Amino acid sequence: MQTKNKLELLLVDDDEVLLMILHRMFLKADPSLDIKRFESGDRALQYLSENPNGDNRFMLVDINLKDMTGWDFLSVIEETNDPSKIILITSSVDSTNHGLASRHPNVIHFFEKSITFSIIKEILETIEEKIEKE
Amino acid sequence: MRKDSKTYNFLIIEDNLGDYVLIEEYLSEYILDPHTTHVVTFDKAKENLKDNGEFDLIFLDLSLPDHSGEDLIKDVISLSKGIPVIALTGFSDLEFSIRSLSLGISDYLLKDELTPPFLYKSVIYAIERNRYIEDLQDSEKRYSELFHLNPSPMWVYDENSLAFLDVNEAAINKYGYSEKEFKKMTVEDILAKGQLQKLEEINNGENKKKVVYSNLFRHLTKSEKILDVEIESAPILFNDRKAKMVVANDITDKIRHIQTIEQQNNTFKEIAWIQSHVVRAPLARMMGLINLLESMDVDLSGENKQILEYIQKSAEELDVIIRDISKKSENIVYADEK
Repeated sequence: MQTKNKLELLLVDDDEVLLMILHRMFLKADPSLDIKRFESGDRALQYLSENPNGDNRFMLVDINLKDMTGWDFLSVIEETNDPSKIILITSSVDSTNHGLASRHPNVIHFFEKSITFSIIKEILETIEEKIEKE
Repeated sequence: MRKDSKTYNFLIIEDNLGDYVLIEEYLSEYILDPHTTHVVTFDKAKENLKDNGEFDLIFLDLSLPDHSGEDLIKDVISLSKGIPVIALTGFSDLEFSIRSLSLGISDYLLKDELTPPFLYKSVIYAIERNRYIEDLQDSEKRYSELFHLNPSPMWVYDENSLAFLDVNEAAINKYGYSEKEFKKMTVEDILAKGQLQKLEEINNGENKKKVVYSNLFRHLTKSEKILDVEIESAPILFNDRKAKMVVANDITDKIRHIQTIEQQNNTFKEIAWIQSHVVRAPLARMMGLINLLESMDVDLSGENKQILEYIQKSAEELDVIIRDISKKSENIVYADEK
């Protein structure tokens, strides 16, 4: 890792089990990650408004949250010019999601769960690439 | 002078031989080859008309030895089956001859005033007019049948009073009113609530310029059953009244079918959504858990390791199936939305 600051990773998913899986896999792949778990979009947005300085912040956001869709979540982020980089995750296999995801500048990655350890590594690599570019 | 070379068959019912000869002579002056059949009694005439219907014209003396007067005319007219009949009379019968025209006689000729051109003119006139009337009756019958025997309910209504002027069999069967009842009713009586306004809008509004309009209406039958009908209407003159002729197609069943299909389609969309979003969520969770277990380098003995592999394989198979179903339903749902 070439980053000086610790990477902050927010996991936003209403599925408790998936949160647990993601958390454990990310920690295994990179024990230095600062991981925070949110079971609703509202709580995640609240955290973001209370902690606006998130240059090294990345988020995994589920498209189908109970209180809002991932797209709603994205438009709030875009309105507030939050620089957070977002990775969308979904358990659905609806192909229209891919097209929608590419229209949002904050979205750097999109994947369908199931989560494998290799996908976790792929995500971390994407994040590192982003950081090197900036 | 050039003579008329068409073939004419005349039946001459005349008991006076002299008069018959005179008529035949006069006919020959203008007609190249007149075929005449001469009979002197009504009985003989009857035989001829029954055996041979191919006469172009009948000459009828109004006083025969076995029959005369108004009854003679009526009997000959009924036997003639549309062949024109010209009455031959003397002066004494003049008034009666004039009256005979109303019984269906084409013309009457006063024997004493007869001349060849006058006779020829009368013959041609009677034959041609008869043909024209027959054509007219034929076409009237055809059009009347087109209306009355049409399988779609049809009617004619007065544009101003909306009163029914004529209805066909199909309308009587569909709406349950008799023809008599229909003719005491107006279109308003078969319109369901709120439909009169629509009809007035169409009749008075922007559609007025369009000669023919088509529209959907809700009608009521006599037993208050609601019908969804597609109306096509066109202006006509009916006995000199401004009227509209209407064809009403019952599409109640068609609409019900479409509604059923739409409902099924909505249910199908829901199922497609469930497939793609809901069913896969627990599977994704399960697969994640298996992957997590693997990545944790848990030391599994041979058999347990195989069990985990089998679970994983089953989950992957289920994943393939769900993706397949989802893809197929997506195609249908999006095709429908287009």
